[in-house]
Parts: sequence; C-alpha cells; structure tokens
Amino acid sequence: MNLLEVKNLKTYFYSDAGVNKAVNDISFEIPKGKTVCIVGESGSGKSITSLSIMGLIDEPGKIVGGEIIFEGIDFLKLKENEMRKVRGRDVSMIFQEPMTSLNPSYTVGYQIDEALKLHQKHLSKKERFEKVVDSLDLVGIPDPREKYGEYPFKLSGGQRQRVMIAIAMACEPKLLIADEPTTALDVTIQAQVLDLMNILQEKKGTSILFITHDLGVVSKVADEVIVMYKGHIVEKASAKELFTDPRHPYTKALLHSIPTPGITKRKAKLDTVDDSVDYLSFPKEIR
Amino acid sequence: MSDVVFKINNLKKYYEISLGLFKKPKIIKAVNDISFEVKKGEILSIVGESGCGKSTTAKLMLKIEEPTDGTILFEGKDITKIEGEELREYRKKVQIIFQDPYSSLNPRWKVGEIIGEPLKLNTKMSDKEIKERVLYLMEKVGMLPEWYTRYPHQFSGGQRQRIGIARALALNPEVIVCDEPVSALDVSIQAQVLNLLLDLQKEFNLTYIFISHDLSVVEHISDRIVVMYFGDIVENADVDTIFTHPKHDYTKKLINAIPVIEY
Repeated sequence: MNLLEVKNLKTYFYSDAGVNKAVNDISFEIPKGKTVCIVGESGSGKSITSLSIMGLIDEPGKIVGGEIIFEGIDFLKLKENEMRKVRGRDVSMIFQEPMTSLNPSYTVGYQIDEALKLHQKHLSKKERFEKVVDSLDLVGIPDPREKYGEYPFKLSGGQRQRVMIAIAMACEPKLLIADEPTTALDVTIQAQVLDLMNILQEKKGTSILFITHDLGVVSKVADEVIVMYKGHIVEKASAKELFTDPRHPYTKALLHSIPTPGITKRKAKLDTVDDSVDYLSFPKEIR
Repeated sequence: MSDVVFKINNLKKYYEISLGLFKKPKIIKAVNDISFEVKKGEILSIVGESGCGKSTTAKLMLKIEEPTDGTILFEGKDITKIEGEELREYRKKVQIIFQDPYSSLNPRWKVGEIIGEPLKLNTKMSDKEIKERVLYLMEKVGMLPEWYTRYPHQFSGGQRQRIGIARALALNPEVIVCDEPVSALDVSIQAQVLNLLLDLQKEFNLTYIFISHDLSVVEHISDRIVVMYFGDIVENADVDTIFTHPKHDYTKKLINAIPVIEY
C-alpha cells in the first residue's frame, strides 16, 4: 500500500541564464510505514524533490508538471490554504540545520505547542502541555517538564535536532520528510538520532522520506533507495539490492568513492565520480 | 631521535569564561595536559567529537593560540617561545589546509594571486619565478593552467580545496595540518581530494596532522590515531590497533557509531 505516489514530477527554476531543470520528470512511491532514501550529490535535485512534496517551491522555481498523490489527493491541485492544513498534520519536515531552524526567541515547549495549536484545536491548554511533555520525553530529552520552558540556545546540537523531531512528530504525521537530519551532528549523536527515528517509525507506523548524501546512513535506515543525478532518478532498488548489486555506473562510482573500513584498501586510490562521463547516457535501472 | 618532528609535552590550554562581575570565572579546560609525538613522514589523525579539543590542539601547534602551559618541540626546539624571524621560518615549514573552501579563500583575488601570496611574502623570487612555481603547483594539484586568472567563485568546492592545497604546498613545507579538509565536500569529491592528499604526501615526503571527526576517512588515510575526549587523549595507537583492538570505551563507542554499509 502506497502512502505517496510521485508521478512525472518536474520542478524547474527560471533565470536570465535559462531554465534549470532541477527535478526532471521523476516518479516514485513511498509505501506505508517504510523508509525511502533519496541519495545524490549537491545539485542532484534531492532537496528540491522534498520541497516540491511539501509545496514549498517559491519563485523563481515552479512545479511545471506531474502529480503528487497522497492518499488519493493530488497535492498540486490543492489551494494554498488547503495545503497549509496538510503541512504539519499529514506531512511534516525535519531540516538539516538544528542550529538555525528553531526560533531563538521562543521556548522549546512553545514551538512544539504551536503545531498542536494549529492542527489539534479540540485539545485544551492542559492537554496540549501534557502532549508536548510526552513528545519531549519520546524523543529522549531528559527532564521534559523542566525543558519545556528552556530556550534553544541552552540545548546542544543533538538535543535541538530532537526538538525538531518532536515538532515534526507532534501531530503524528503519516509522512515525515527528513532532509539531511544528521549531517550537522557528531557520529555518536547521529547514531542516537537515527535510532530514535527507527523507534518512532515502529511505534507510530510513520512513512519516512530520508534525504542524505551519506551512504552509511542509508544502509542504517532505508527500505528503498532512490539514486538521483542531475535531476533524474538513475537507479531505484531495495537497500539490499542497491548495496549488494548496484547496476547503474553512477551508483557504482558513488559506492566505491567512499572509504569503508574493512572494504576499501587502506591508502589505496578511491574510485571517483568521473566528471567526463555522461552518466545519463546509460539506461536507468529501476527495479 | 631525529625522526620525531613534533614532541608535545603536557600541553594545556584553558579558557576563562566570565560569569559576571563578582562571580568567579569558569575555567574551560579545552586541552588538558596532553603529550604525544608526530614522526616524520607519517599521517597522524586526531579524532574526537565537537568540543573535544582537537582543533585547539591544532591551533596551538600552528601558533595561532598560545598554550596555558606545556611545550611543543618542533625538530627539538620549543616553538611556544619563538618569535620574529624564527617564527617566520617556523610558519614556512608548517602549513594548514582549512575545512571550509568557501570561506577560506579571498573572493577578490585570482587563483594565481592566492597560491602565489606566500611566495611573495616569504621569498625573494621574481614575479616570473613566482608565476612558474604557481603553475607547477596548479599542475600538481590537478588544475588547468588557464584557471590562473579565474576567481574562487568560479570553482566548485572540490576545486577550491585544491587551491587551498596548492597554497599550502607553495613554500615546500615539512608538515601540513589538515583541519577537516574533506568534511565540507560531497562524497564523490571527497574521494578525489583524499587521493590527491595521499599522492602529494608520497611525492613530497610530507607529514600530515589530520584533524577529523569522520572515522571512515581517518581509517583510510592514517598511520596513527590520537583519540581525544573532553580535552584529554584517551587513546594513541596505530590505525590497526585502534580499529581492531580499541582499548578505551570511548574509542569503542566512536567506532560502533560509524554507519557502515553492511549487507
């Protein structure tokens, strides 16, 4: 059962220099309760794909074609005020930078409460407070009751990212989009945050769209993997297939360019993605 | 011993943080009594998480910061005391490659000027000789000669890092401190820069002090690894020992936290 189906999505950016086809006719599905990873380098269109789903593409960008079907509803046909109800309630997003995505002048609790205020109007103030405390507890913030009134600057990077996750999960969305949620974090904190996302998914059955360029992270979280290159999907496969039997030359180059303890030979030359190769000339590998 | 380039003894760096006029300042022990050696021609990595003191250690070795206590012997001489001409000589021998190739290059300067600046300041070479040397360095780091007159913004992150590397090489240094040189780069570009660093090390017989939080990269490139945790060195051993028989709990925790591809 698919929660989200993206069909022939095209998102272009217009400038004096011409048209940049950031997302150029891509299609994929996100099954219920599963994690789909999009991997690719900067400029591959992976973040633009996630922003297109959230309806956050702004001038000079434009979605010029395709469908984004979420439980039978095409997001691209919704009006802005209808889309606003979807965001935060059905689909929510965690951003890369925990240091800058929180508002420094509001308490942590207030910022989580905001999502509830907007989308769960039937709750009383007291109920909302308890819910916020529960969500802080769920993401593993110690002393959640005291932390409710804390300002973001008092929290470490890992804790801030947990707060971001708590905001995103507050209304129990069906789809969580995580755009490089651990890139700015230390490895041990990254491991904690990834574990947390896995646990939340198990508990709540949330589908996750995970954007990353770190293939190690992909192997920890993904059920399905989409490899993007210059606005196109060049390979789509289950995580196991992708790592054991990568088929597209670009995927292979990407996999072999990463130093991996125990696999790549120490101090040996790493393979690189070759700028002179036109990877789009190879057939797409979609399984 | 002649093959020891750096010998660091009981190095300490404390920062005082004022908590208000009548309160006692809080003391942050960024580097708390560490000792280690760097051998000639080796790649020594200093690893740890944010705030562990790895960058402070590098800054002390580069004499960007003054230590609170302790000595740093470079080829037998304590560099914590040197100044003037001696310091100039030291700075020629120990160079740095910075983490962020976007903010560490002057956007108003052409590539040729950026790479040639250390030569202009520190040698008596003529303009023509400097240009020749810059073009030679550009070739060594894999840049085309026609890029000499381009500006940094015309390059991608990986190419910019090459500019930084060429500049660090300009004065024929003995030691290069690499402060997270690939962590701002895409994985595919990261591989190119790591390959380049390894090639150059062999060709010019360089010693690298490699500061990083990425253990997969460190495993690939290092001979020896120093693990830092809250200002202390918790483990110092060759790369094999660290990865196959880590002794300290923190080292084990770090290694287990690396997301490795396992199928």
